[in-house]
Amino acid sequence: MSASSEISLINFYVVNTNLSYAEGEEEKKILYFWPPETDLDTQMKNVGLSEAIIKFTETFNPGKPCEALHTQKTRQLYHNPEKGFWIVMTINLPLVTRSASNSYSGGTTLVWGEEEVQDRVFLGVLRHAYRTFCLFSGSFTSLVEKGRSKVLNKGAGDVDDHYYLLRSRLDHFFSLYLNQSLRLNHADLLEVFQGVSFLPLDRRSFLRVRCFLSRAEEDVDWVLRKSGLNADETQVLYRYLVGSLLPAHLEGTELQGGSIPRHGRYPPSSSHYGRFVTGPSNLCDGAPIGKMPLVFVNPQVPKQNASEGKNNFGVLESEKSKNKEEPFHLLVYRALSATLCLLISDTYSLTLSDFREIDAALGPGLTSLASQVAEMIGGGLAPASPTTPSSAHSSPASSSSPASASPGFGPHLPPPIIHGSSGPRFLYFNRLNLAVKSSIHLDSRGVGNVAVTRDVLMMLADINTDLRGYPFNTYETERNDNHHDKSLQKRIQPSYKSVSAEIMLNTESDVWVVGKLSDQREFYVVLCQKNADLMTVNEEVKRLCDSQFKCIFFHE
Amino acid sequence: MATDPGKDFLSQEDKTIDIDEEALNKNVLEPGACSEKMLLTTDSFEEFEQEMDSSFDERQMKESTTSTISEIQEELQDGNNSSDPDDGKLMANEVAEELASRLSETSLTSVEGEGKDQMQKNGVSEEDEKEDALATPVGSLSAAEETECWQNAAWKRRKKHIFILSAAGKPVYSRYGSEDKQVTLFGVMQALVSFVADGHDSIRSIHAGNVKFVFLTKGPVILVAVSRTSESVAQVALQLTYAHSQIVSVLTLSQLARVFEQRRNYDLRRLLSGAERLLDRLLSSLETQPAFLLGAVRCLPLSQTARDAISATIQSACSKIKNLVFAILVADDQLISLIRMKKYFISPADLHLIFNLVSSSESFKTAESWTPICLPKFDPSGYLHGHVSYLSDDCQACLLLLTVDRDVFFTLSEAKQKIVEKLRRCGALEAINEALAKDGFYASAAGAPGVRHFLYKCKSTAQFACPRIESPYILRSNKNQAFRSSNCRSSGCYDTGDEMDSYDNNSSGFLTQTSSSSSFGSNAKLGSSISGSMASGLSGHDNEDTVGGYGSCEEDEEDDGERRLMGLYQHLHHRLHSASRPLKQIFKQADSEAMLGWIKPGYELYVIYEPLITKTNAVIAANKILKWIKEEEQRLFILHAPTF
Repeated sequence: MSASSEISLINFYVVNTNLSYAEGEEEKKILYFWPPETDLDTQMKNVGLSEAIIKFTETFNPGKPCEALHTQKTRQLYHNPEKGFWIVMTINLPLVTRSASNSYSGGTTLVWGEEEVQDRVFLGVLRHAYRTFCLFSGSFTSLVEKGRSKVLNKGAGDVDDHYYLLRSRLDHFFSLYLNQSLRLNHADLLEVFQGVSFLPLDRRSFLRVRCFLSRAEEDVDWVLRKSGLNADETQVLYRYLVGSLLPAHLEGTELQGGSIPRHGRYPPSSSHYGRFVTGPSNLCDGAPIGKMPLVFVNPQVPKQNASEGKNNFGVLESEKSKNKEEPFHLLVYRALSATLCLLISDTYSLTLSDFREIDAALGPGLTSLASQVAEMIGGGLAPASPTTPSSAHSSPASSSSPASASPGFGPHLPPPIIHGSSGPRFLYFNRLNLAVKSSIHLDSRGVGNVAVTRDVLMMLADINTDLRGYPFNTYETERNDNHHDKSLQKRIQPSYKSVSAEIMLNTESDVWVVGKLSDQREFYVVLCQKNADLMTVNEEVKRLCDSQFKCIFFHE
Repeated sequence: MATDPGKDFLSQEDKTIDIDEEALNKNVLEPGACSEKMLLTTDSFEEFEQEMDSSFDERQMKESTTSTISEIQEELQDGNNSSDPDDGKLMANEVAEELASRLSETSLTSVEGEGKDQMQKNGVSEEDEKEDALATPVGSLSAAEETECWQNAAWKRRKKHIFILSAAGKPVYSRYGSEDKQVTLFGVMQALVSFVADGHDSIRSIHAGNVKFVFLTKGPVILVAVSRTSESVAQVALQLTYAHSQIVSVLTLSQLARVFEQRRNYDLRRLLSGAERLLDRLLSSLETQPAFLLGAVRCLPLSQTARDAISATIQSACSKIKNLVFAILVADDQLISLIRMKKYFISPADLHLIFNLVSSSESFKTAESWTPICLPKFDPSGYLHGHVSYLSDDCQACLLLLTVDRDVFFTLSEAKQKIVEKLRRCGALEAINEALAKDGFYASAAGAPGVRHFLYKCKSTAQFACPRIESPYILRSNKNQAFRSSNCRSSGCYDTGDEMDSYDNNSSGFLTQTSSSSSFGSNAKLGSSISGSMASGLSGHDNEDTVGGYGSCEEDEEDDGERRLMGLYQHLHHRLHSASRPLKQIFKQADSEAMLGWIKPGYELYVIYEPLITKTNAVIAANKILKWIKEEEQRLFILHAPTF
């Protein structure tokens, strides 16, 4: 059959259901619709169905907004990030062949793979799309507010014009995002986690990193304001850097013949390897300052300077509702394979000389730091020793992401016991500090470079569903203030929480998939061992835990 | 952690597994298997998936070309050399008449006047047209009326709503509350289904929080479930399929299709009056009995000699009766004996419907009945005629003799008398009574420590065995199924009034629980008072406030141990039988229990353990269960499949 078996996007739209217009003007509640060439009638039909479904489900007080509509051929996912605003994404189900076990049909049949698309994963995709939008444009409501103030200044009369700014931002952002950054066919459990890969460092290197960061803060303090990022924003920023910005940058420089030593020793030269990824591409006089993305974050002023970013995580979620995003310039500076990220207030206009100063202040330090760290890792300095994802990130004001797309510096060191593809593969996630560690994913770009089959990957998400039960993102509900039945919500949630659980699956192709939940930590192992039984697998998992996660406690 | 003793244990365990497998190999067959086939064995989920994917018309075509019943009739007539080709059709034409007689049989227990009224309206008569014109069109209810059930918090919180409607949006059945008050809701559901259908697609489910909305379209009938349970969509859809089968079993598929062909707008409730209690009970059984999930039948544990004696007795008494297709002896939803016509099998799904019919009809207890039954899997287009009667006042086993001949009531009645006499003489009645009184076996009987409960299904015979439910899953459950359905519905189940009283008596002796369990006893009254007040037009808001005690009732339902246990099995089953990612084995250890599911070529085993059991011990225990079942297979399963 030549039928497409890929998952593809059918449509994607943003509506505000709280907007009510006069008859004939209903289409104005559609804020964005993709594909843009869709005629208005079709748009209205789609939106109408969505609204009907949202209303219908509310009849039964689910305690949570509607999330997914399954039909025989498609899947529609709903995300309700702000009051009244809905992001809806429709994708087609892939066609899969299934061996028919009934005698009369015989052979294989082609069916729509309902279970091949996992709500949990694609809701993660949708949520991430929204958060990325917020990072670059601010929240929907803030854009409406801005639109309103501009309209007021102009003294224009039409109420609808409040939304013009939001409309144009949505159009600008999603036309690009949907084409470039939406990787539907490679979405997996990581979309649910939205975690950050930490580079395991030994104590001395870690200290060096902290030391460098503090010094950097001192050195460039004329542009910096001390504050922190919250977990959400860190996730999105990290994904943007690792998933889009850096790969694009690397490709770009390689095309120009620019050589960035990716590996090996730092040559004893007086110069350094630092350069701006965003900002000016060279620092000669008269060079253009270049483009720096504007990002909207909610600056968190730490109560104490010494407080670790990760301690903030829990608290910040609840304070989010304040919606006090401020625009910042995202300045990314890179030396060798170390990347430093500076957020500089929008109010400060940077000149070329500022960049020169930054470059002079950071360049040598970052270069030597990068080479030292690379050496430590390359030199095989006890890769199995403390691999606790130490919080190398989240210093005040600047967020350093040493992990990058370059190999050799990548966080995914092959665990010592892996022999070929048949060895155990694992995935670890800690909800508290968002640390992700995976030997299943071979890189962090999310383009399907994985060591296991797609089925197994989906099974991981199945297990995650079972371990976590419902609701999977507890903090997600708090923003959905359009659900009045708060008491019901409260009643449902605690009963689904489980502190520790373990699931072991044996598939028909004799792969073992194990999932462990230990409070906020999740650990998954994939094991391809023929004829293994429950006990051998259990032993194997224990061994893996001992070798990889010595310091992390798992419930037995 | 790999200490030596652990290793020793492990290797020991390896040995035990080897031995067990060897033992099984020697016997060739897995526990409970036999070479004789009695039941049609299809994986209910596989079949169901196919049904979902093939279009309805296709299926109907297939079904209508092969009518098993007319096939049997033709065969018999060929034998008699007096072929009457019209007989099959004749039967179809007289469906309405038969239906009336069937309903008079089964609706005896509902309110007399109403029953009679409905009976006169059976069939597609002219009166209907007038009525239809008067019937409220969709969506025209006044706002005050429609808010009543919608804004009733208790109604909303129900664990699982089931709605059945016609493709035109006419209400057919609602599990809770009166359909008439929910007309707008039915309209919305119909609109959603038809809107998606317009795009050459079909709506399957909607997910919002932990609530699932599952849609199933079966030709002219739409079934919708709104479920707060942990069941998977496929499992809920299977339950809807059963609900549809139940309707087909009352009306036949051809009748159903014809009714809507003649008038799209037809109010099916007229034909189904009296069948609501069948649906009520079926739906609650679906949530509590693993039989439906497994697509298998449970047998009443009996010694081999007793079972053989019973089968032989029925066989010999009925062997002379030409067109008897099935003889089924059932007690307490468990199969005692099944004798079938050679060449024809009965599907477990059909048996479940028969069990449901027997258990929800009190009238069978008092008198011999002659009732038409359509078995949807066997032949959805026509009726079998069933002689239904309990063996005797002192033995609560029900004998069904199903035939294609509509004029043999007295022959079958005679045969039944003979069977009862013989069974009494050989002491089989006592054996049955004893088994019923014993109420199955305990999980501890298998001698496997740490095991709380288990299900064992033998795939080749579609039979399963499970121990009785014990603490901690017994908490607030009660064997009295009828009570459960009565608490759901205030109308149409007056027959269970006596049982409700008996339940109240039970519950007073049962009261070691918290205060909430005392309110459980009065749920039914509360439930009826709610729908009563809805009917009398009080505002919905009042209900919400006055129902204070209702919250606890819902919690009772939630905490119901039996349903929780089923939920665990459903969870295991869902993962193991996933359409795209099927598994061979699953082990899950969680806060409140550990569980194991095994799918082997010949059998399925599901075990629930104490939460802290080690994996090694879990596997040992599972093997012990298998061994024990093998030893007990004669008692637990029907290993012979006698024919006429």
